[in-house]
Amino acid sequence: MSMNALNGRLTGLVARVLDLPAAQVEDASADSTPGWDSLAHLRLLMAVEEEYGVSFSPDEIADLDSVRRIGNAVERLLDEKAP
Amino acid sequence: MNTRAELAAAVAIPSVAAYLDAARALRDGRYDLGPLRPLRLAIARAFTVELLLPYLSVECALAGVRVEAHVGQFGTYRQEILDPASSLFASEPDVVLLAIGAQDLVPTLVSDFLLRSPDEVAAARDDAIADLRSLAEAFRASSSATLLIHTVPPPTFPAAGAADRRLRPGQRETFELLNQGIARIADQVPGVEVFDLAAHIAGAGQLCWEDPRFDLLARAPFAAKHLPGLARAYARVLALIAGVRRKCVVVDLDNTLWGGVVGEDGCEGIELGADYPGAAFSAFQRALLDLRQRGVLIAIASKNEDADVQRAFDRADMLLKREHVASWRVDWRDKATSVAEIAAELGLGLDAIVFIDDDPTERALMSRMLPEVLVPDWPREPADFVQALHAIPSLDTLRVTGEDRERAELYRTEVRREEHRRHSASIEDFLRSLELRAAVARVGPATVARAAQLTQRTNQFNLTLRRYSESEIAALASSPDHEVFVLSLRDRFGDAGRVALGIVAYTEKAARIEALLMSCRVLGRGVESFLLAHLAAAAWSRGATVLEGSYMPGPRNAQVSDFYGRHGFVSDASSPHRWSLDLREGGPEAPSWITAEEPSEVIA
Repeated sequence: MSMNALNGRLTGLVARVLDLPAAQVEDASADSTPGWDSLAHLRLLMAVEEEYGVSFSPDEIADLDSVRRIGNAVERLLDEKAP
Repeated sequence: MNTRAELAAAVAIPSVAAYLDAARALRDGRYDLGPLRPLRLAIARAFTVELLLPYLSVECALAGVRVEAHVGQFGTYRQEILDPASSLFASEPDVVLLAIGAQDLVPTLVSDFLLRSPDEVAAARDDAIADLRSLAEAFRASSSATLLIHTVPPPTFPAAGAADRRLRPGQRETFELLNQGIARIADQVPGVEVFDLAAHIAGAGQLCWEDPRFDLLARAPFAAKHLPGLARAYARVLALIAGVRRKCVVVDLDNTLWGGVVGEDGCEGIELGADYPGAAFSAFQRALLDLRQRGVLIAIASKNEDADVQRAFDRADMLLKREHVASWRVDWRDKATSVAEIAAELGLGLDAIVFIDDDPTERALMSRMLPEVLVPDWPREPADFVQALHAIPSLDTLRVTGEDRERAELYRTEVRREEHRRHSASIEDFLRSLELRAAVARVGPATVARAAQLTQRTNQFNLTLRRYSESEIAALASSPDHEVFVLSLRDRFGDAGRVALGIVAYTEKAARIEALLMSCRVLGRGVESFLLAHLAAAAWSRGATVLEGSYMPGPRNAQVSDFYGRHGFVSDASSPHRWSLDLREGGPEAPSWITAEEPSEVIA
C-alpha cells in the first residue's frame, strides 16, 4: 500500500469520525484539535482498527495522539501482517 | 519432518483450508510431534459431527493426543449405547462422546414452551435427566470406557422473547437447571465426565464481546463491532417500555408459510416437514406459534383458491392450524384491502399490523398503500425467516401475562359468542343471555403487570391515552390519593380475563378519573358503564361530591369522545373535553344485565 493511499483513506476516516474538514486532518493531533477528547480518541482508534483490520496495543492506544502517528502505526502493523 | 511449532503455525490463522491441509499432513506422518497419547474416540450422535473431525485431529495433536475417531450411525445413539454388541463397542473406545442436543433429549422444552405449565416443565426436565442417567448406567454396565456427556445450549430465541427472564420458570432458566442435572450425573455414575457445551458457546460470545484493552484503559468494556447490536438490543427494550408494540402478523402463504405454490404444486407438492427446504418453513411456523403463545395474533392474506388452501391446512405437518389463525383473507383482491379488513375485523389499528410476504412487489405495494403497516424487508432464503421474524422489535414483549397465554382460548370463545349473537332476538336479550359477571378489584401485586399492559396496549376504548409502566401503577396503587381498579369479566362461555382499568385521583371534595380504558375485545356489553358506576360509588364512599373526567383525542379513540356525555356528565364550557358529574344527584347506573361479583383471588 502506498503512503498516499493510506493517507487519503486515513484522513477521510479521521475527518468522518472527528467531524473535521478534510484539509485540517493531516496535521491534526489531540492537543491541537478541540473535539479530540479522550472519548473521541477511543472512538477514533476503534474506527481505525475496524477500517484496517489491525489491533493496537494498549500503549499504542494511549500514545497515538496525532494522525501522523496513527498513520505510521497502521503502516507498521500492515507491514507485519503482510506475508 | 515438521515440528509441533510448525503445526501450530500452519493453523495460526484458522481457516477451513488450513485445517484440512494440516489434518492430511498429520495423517500422512509429515509431522514429528514426539510421543503422543493414543486415544480411541467413539462418537454416538444425533447430529452431523463429521465436519469437526479434521479440526479435532489437529487440535488433539497440538494437545498431545493422537485421536482415532469412530462415528456412530446417525440418530441411533440409544441403540448403540444399550447394545454391547454394537459397532460402537466393537471399536474398543477409550472414550465415548454422546453428542446429542436438546431436540433429542427433551423436545418438549424446545417447542411450544409457553403452552407448558410449570409442573410440566419441571417434569420434562427431570424426566430428561433421569433418562440420560439411566442411559449412562446402562453404558457403564457394558463398557469400561469413559463416557463424555454434553450440556445442552439454551435456545437462541426463547419462546417468550425479551420476557423470558421474568417467566417462571423461564426457558433459559429451565435449560440451566437441566444442565446442572446433567452435570450431577457425573457424580452419580462412575467414569462419566461432562463437556460444558452450553458454557463454551456462551463463552465464545463473551470472548468476542470483550475488548480488555479499551476496558483497562477507559472502562469501555465492549468491542466496537458489538456496539451497534448492543444499542439495538437496548432500543428494543426501551421501545417496548415506551409502548411501541404491534399485535398482529399478517402472513402470506405461498413461499412464505410453506415452500412452493399450492395452486400449482398441489397440497402434497408444497414444501413442509423435517427435511430442507420444508424444514425452514416448519421452523418459521414454529416461531410464529411462539409469538402467538405470547399474545400476538396471526392472520393470513393470500392470493389463492380457498379450497387449495384448506387442503394444505389439512396436512398433518402444518404446525400452524386453522384455529391458530385469527383472521383469513384468501381471495384474489389486492392485499392492502385484505389487510385493512383484517385490522377492522380484529379491532386493531393499521399501526398494530406487521405484514410478511416473500414477494417484494407485494411488500412495496403494501408500504405505499398502507404506510402505517410495518413491512419488514424479507430475506430470500427461507432458512433466514426465523431470524428475520425475531428481528422485529415491536413483536417482542417484556412480560408474558396469563392473559397472553390464554388469548387463543379467549378469541375462540369470542367466535362462539358471535354465533350466539346471531341467534338472539334483540341486543338486550343477547346481553342477558350471556350471563355476564364482572368483578372490580383494587390492583395488587398479582395484577400490576396486566394493569400496565392494558394501559400500554389499549388504543380505541381509552379516554386519556395515558400509558403507565408497572412501577408507575405500583406507585399509584400505594399512594393514599389514588385508587387503581381492574375489572375482570366472565360469562357463560368462559373467562375473558382482566379487561378494563380505571385510575381515580382524589382531592378534597372531588375525584378525578385519570385513566379509564377497556380492551376492545369486550366492546358492546356495557362493561364500561359498569366500571364507571363502580368508580362513582367508590368516589362517593370516600366523600367526593364531584366526579371529573376528561377525554384526550387520539388517532383511534373517537368512539369515546362522548363517553361522559352519554353517562350524564356535563362538559366544561371553556374546555369541551373536560366533564364533571355532581354525585349528590346520584351516580351512573350499572347495566342490569351484568352481575357484580366479589373479586376472587387471582394468580398472576
